[in-house]
Amino acid sequence: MRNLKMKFRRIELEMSQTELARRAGVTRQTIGMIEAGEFNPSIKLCVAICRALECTLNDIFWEEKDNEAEKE
Amino acid sequence: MKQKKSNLDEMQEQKLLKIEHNGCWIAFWGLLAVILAQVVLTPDELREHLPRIMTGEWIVFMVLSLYLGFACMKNGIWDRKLKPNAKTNLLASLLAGGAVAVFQVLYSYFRFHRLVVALGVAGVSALITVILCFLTLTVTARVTKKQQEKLEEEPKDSAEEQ
Repeated sequence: MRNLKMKFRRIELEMSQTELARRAGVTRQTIGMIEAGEFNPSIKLCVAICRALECTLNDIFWEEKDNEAEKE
Repeated sequence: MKQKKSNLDEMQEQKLLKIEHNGCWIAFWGLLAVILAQVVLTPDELREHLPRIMTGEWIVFMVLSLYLGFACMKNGIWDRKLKPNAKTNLLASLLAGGAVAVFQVLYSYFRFHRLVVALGVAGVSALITVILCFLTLTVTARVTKKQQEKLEEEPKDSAEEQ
Protein backbone atom coordinates (compact mmCIF):
# COMPACT_ATOMS: atom_id res chain seq x y z
CA MET A 1 0.00 0.00 0.00
CA ARG A 2 1.66 3.25 -1.16
CA ASN A 3 2.04 5.99 1.40
CA LEU A 4 0.89 8.97 -0.65
CA LYS A 5 0.18 11.09 2.42
CA MET A 6 3.85 10.96 3.33
CA LYS A 7 4.95 11.74 -0.21
CA PHE A 8 2.54 14.71 -0.54
CA ARG A 9 3.59 16.11 2.85
CA ARG A 10 7.25 15.87 1.84
CA ILE A 11 6.56 17.63 -1.47
CA GLU A 12 4.47 20.23 0.35
CA LEU A 13 7.55 21.05 2.45
CA GLU A 14 9.70 21.10 -0.74
CA MET A 15 11.84 18.37 0.72
CA SER A 16 13.69 15.74 -1.30
CA GLN A 17 13.76 12.08 -0.27
CA THR A 18 17.47 12.54 0.49
CA GLU A 19 16.78 15.47 2.81
CA LEU A 20 13.97 13.65 4.62
CA ALA A 21 16.21 10.59 4.97
CA ARG A 22 18.97 12.75 6.47
CA ARG A 23 16.58 14.32 8.99
CA ALA A 24 15.07 10.94 9.96
CA GLY A 25 18.51 9.31 10.20
CA VAL A 26 17.97 6.64 7.52
CA THR A 27 19.02 6.05 3.89
CA ARG A 28 17.14 7.49 0.92
CA GLN A 29 16.26 3.97 -0.20
CA THR A 30 14.30 3.44 3.03
CA ILE A 31 12.22 6.58 2.46
CA GLY A 32 11.63 5.54 -1.17
CA MET A 33 10.48 2.10 -0.10
CA ILE A 34 8.12 3.44 2.59
CA GLU A 35 6.53 5.82 0.07
CA ALA A 36 6.21 2.98 -2.43
CA GLY A 37 4.62 0.76 0.24
CA GLU A 38 7.37 -1.82 -0.02
CA PHE A 39 8.61 -1.45 3.55
CA ASN A 40 6.70 -1.18 6.83
CA PRO A 41 8.64 1.11 9.18
CA SER A 42 8.85 0.55 12.94
CA ILE A 43 6.95 2.93 15.20
CA LYS A 44 10.32 4.51 16.13
CA LEU A 45 11.05 5.33 12.49
CA CYS A 46 7.47 6.53 11.92
CA VAL A 47 7.94 9.01 14.79
CA ALA A 48 11.29 10.19 13.36
CA ILE A 49 9.68 10.72 9.93
CA CYS A 50 6.74 12.59 11.45
CA ARG A 51 9.12 14.84 13.42
CA ALA A 52 11.05 15.57 10.20
CA LEU A 53 7.79 16.30 8.33
CA GLU A 54 6.45 18.41 11.23
CA CYS A 55 3.23 16.44 11.55
CA THR A 56 1.65 13.70 13.66
CA LEU A 57 1.50 9.95 13.18
CA ASN A 58 -2.22 10.29 12.38
CA ASP A 59 -1.52 12.72 9.55
CA ILE A 60 0.82 10.35 7.73
CA PHE A 61 0.23 6.79 8.83
CA TRP A 62 -3.44 6.55 9.83
CA GLU A 63 -5.75 4.85 7.35
CA GLU A 64 -9.55 4.80 7.62
CA LYS A 65 -10.80 1.22 7.75
CA ASP A 66 -12.81 1.51 4.49
CA ASN A 67 -9.82 3.02 2.67
CA GLU A 68 -7.54 0.31 4.00
CA ALA A 69 -9.84 -2.48 2.82
CA GLU A 70 -10.20 -0.89 -0.63
CA LYS A 71 -6.45 -0.59 -1.12
CA GLU A 72 -5.84 -4.16 0.03
CA MET B 1 -1.30 -14.91 -8.23
CA LYS B 2 -2.66 -14.01 -4.80
CA GLN B 3 -0.11 -14.47 -2.03
CA LYS B 4 -1.09 -16.92 0.70
CA LYS B 5 -1.74 -15.21 4.04
CA SER B 6 1.04 -15.71 6.57
CA ASN B 7 0.25 -17.63 9.76
CA LEU B 8 2.70 -15.43 11.67
CA ASP B 9 2.16 -12.02 13.20
CA GLU B 10 4.84 -9.29 13.01
CA MET B 11 6.63 -10.36 16.20
CA GLN B 12 6.68 -14.03 15.13
CA GLU B 13 7.93 -12.98 11.68
CA GLN B 14 10.86 -11.14 13.31
CA LYS B 15 11.58 -14.10 15.58
CA LEU B 16 11.61 -16.42 12.54
CA LEU B 17 14.04 -14.07 10.74
CA LYS B 18 16.29 -14.13 13.82
CA ILE B 19 16.14 -17.96 13.96
CA GLU B 20 16.97 -18.16 10.22
CA HIS B 21 19.80 -15.64 10.73
CA ASN B 22 21.30 -17.75 13.55
CA GLY B 23 20.86 -20.91 11.48
CA CYS B 24 22.71 -19.32 8.56
CA TRP B 25 25.73 -18.43 10.72
CA ILE B 26 25.73 -21.83 12.45
CA ALA B 27 25.86 -23.41 8.97
CA PHE B 28 28.66 -21.03 7.87
CA TRP B 29 30.97 -21.59 10.86
CA GLY B 30 29.99 -25.26 11.12
CA LEU B 31 30.98 -25.90 7.50
CA LEU B 32 34.28 -24.06 8.00
CA ALA B 33 34.97 -26.15 11.13
CA VAL B 34 34.13 -29.37 9.24
CA ILE B 35 36.46 -28.42 6.35
CA LEU B 36 39.32 -27.65 8.77
CA ALA B 37 38.66 -30.84 10.75
CA GLN B 38 38.83 -32.86 7.53
CA VAL B 39 42.16 -31.25 6.64
CA VAL B 40 43.58 -32.00 10.10
CA LEU B 41 42.06 -35.42 10.81
CA THR B 42 42.29 -37.17 7.44
CA PRO B 43 44.86 -40.00 7.80
CA ASP B 44 47.97 -39.89 5.59
CA GLU B 45 46.92 -42.85 3.42
CA LEU B 46 43.71 -41.00 2.43
CA ARG B 47 45.33 -37.57 2.05
CA GLU B 48 45.51 -37.78 -1.76
CA HIS B 49 41.69 -38.15 -1.79
CA LEU B 50 41.18 -35.11 0.47
CA PRO B 51 39.87 -32.77 -2.28
CA ARG B 52 37.24 -35.38 -3.20
CA ILE B 53 36.35 -36.06 0.45
CA MET B 54 35.56 -32.41 1.18
CA THR B 55 34.01 -31.42 -2.18
CA GLY B 56 30.42 -31.30 -0.85
CA GLU B 57 31.20 -29.17 2.18
CA TRP B 58 33.42 -26.88 0.11
CA ILE B 59 30.75 -26.31 -2.57
CA VAL B 60 28.04 -25.52 0.03
CA PHE B 61 30.44 -23.22 1.93
CA MET B 62 31.41 -21.34 -1.25
CA VAL B 63 27.78 -21.01 -2.44
CA LEU B 64 26.79 -19.68 0.99
CA SER B 65 29.72 -17.24 1.11
CA LEU B 66 29.19 -16.00 -2.45
CA TYR B 67 25.44 -15.56 -1.88
CA LEU B 68 26.04 -13.54 1.31
CA GLY B 69 28.73 -11.43 -0.37
CA PHE B 70 26.88 -10.68 -3.61
CA ALA B 71 23.51 -10.07 -1.91
CA CYS B 72 25.12 -7.52 0.43
CA MET B 73 26.99 -5.80 -2.42
CA LYS B 74 23.82 -5.63 -4.55
CA ASN B 75 22.01 -3.87 -1.72
CA GLY B 76 24.93 -1.56 -0.92
CA ILE B 77 25.41 -3.13 2.52
CA TRP B 78 28.93 -3.49 3.96
CA ASP B 79 28.83 -4.01 7.72
CA ARG B 80 26.87 -2.84 10.77
CA LYS B 81 29.88 -1.17 12.41
CA LEU B 82 32.81 -1.11 9.99
CA LYS B 83 33.26 1.31 7.09
CA PRO B 84 34.57 0.09 3.73
CA ASN B 85 37.92 1.87 3.78
CA ALA B 86 41.59 0.88 3.35
CA LYS B 87 42.35 0.92 7.09
CA THR B 88 39.60 -1.52 8.13
CA ASN B 89 40.25 -3.67 5.04
CA LEU B 90 43.91 -3.97 6.00
CA LEU B 91 43.03 -4.74 9.61
CA ALA B 92 40.56 -7.48 8.56
CA SER B 93 43.15 -8.92 6.13
CA LEU B 94 45.80 -8.98 8.88
CA LEU B 95 43.37 -10.74 11.21
CA ALA B 96 42.63 -13.35 8.52
CA GLY B 97 46.36 -13.74 7.86
CA GLY B 98 46.98 -14.15 11.61
CA ALA B 99 44.29 -16.86 11.90
CA VAL B 100 45.77 -18.74 8.93
CA ALA B 101 49.29 -18.41 10.41
CA VAL B 102 48.21 -19.87 13.77
CA PHE B 103 46.39 -22.74 12.07
CA GLN B 104 49.32 -23.48 9.74
CA VAL B 105 51.96 -23.37 12.52
CA LEU B 106 50.00 -25.84 14.66
CA TYR B 107 49.04 -28.07 11.73
CA SER B 108 52.52 -28.19 10.13
CA TYR B 109 54.31 -28.61 13.46
CA PHE B 110 52.15 -31.53 14.60
CA ARG B 111 52.40 -33.11 11.14
CA PHE B 112 56.12 -32.68 10.37
CA HIS B 113 57.55 -31.97 13.89
CA ARG B 114 59.86 -29.28 12.52
CA LEU B 115 59.30 -25.80 13.88
CA VAL B 116 61.33 -23.95 11.19
CA VAL B 117 59.33 -25.62 8.40
CA ALA B 118 56.09 -24.91 10.26
CA LEU B 119 56.99 -21.22 10.69
CA GLY B 120 58.05 -20.93 7.03
CA VAL B 121 54.84 -22.50 5.72
CA ALA B 122 52.76 -20.40 8.10
CA GLY B 123 54.55 -17.19 7.07
CA VAL B 124 54.02 -17.78 3.35
CA SER B 125 50.38 -18.84 3.83
CA ALA B 126 49.67 -15.80 6.00
CA LEU B 127 51.27 -13.43 3.48
CA ILE B 128 49.26 -14.88 0.58
CA THR B 129 46.07 -14.70 2.70
CA VAL B 130 46.70 -11.06 3.64
CA ILE B 131 47.33 -10.06 0.00
CA LEU B 132 44.33 -11.96 -1.39
CA CYS B 133 42.00 -10.76 1.39
CA PHE B 134 43.09 -7.15 0.98
CA LEU B 135 42.62 -7.26 -2.82
CA THR B 136 39.19 -8.91 -2.49
CA LEU B 137 38.06 -6.45 0.20
CA THR B 138 39.34 -3.47 -1.83
CA VAL B 139 37.45 -4.54 -4.95
CA THR B 140 34.24 -5.47 -3.09
CA ALA B 141 34.38 -2.25 -1.03
CA ARG B 142 34.62 -0.22 -4.24
CA VAL B 143 31.68 -2.09 -5.82
CA THR B 144 29.62 -1.67 -2.62
CA LYS B 145 30.36 2.07 -2.45
CA LYS B 146 29.32 2.50 -6.12
CA GLN B 147 26.12 0.57 -5.45
CA GLN B 148 25.43 2.72 -2.35
CA GLU B 149 25.84 5.88 -4.45
CA LYS B 150 23.51 4.46 -7.12
CA LEU B 151 20.85 3.51 -4.57
CA GLU B 152 21.09 6.89 -2.84
CA GLU B 153 20.51 8.83 -6.08
CA GLU B 154 17.28 10.81 -5.93
CA PRO B 155 14.72 9.20 -8.28
CA LYS B 156 13.72 11.42 -11.21
CA ASP B 157 10.01 11.65 -10.38
CA SER B 158 10.77 12.69 -6.80
CA ALA B 159 13.02 15.57 -7.94
CA GLU B 160 10.62 16.75 -10.66
CA GLU B 161 7.69 16.99 -8.29
CA GLN B 162 9.37 19.71 -6.23
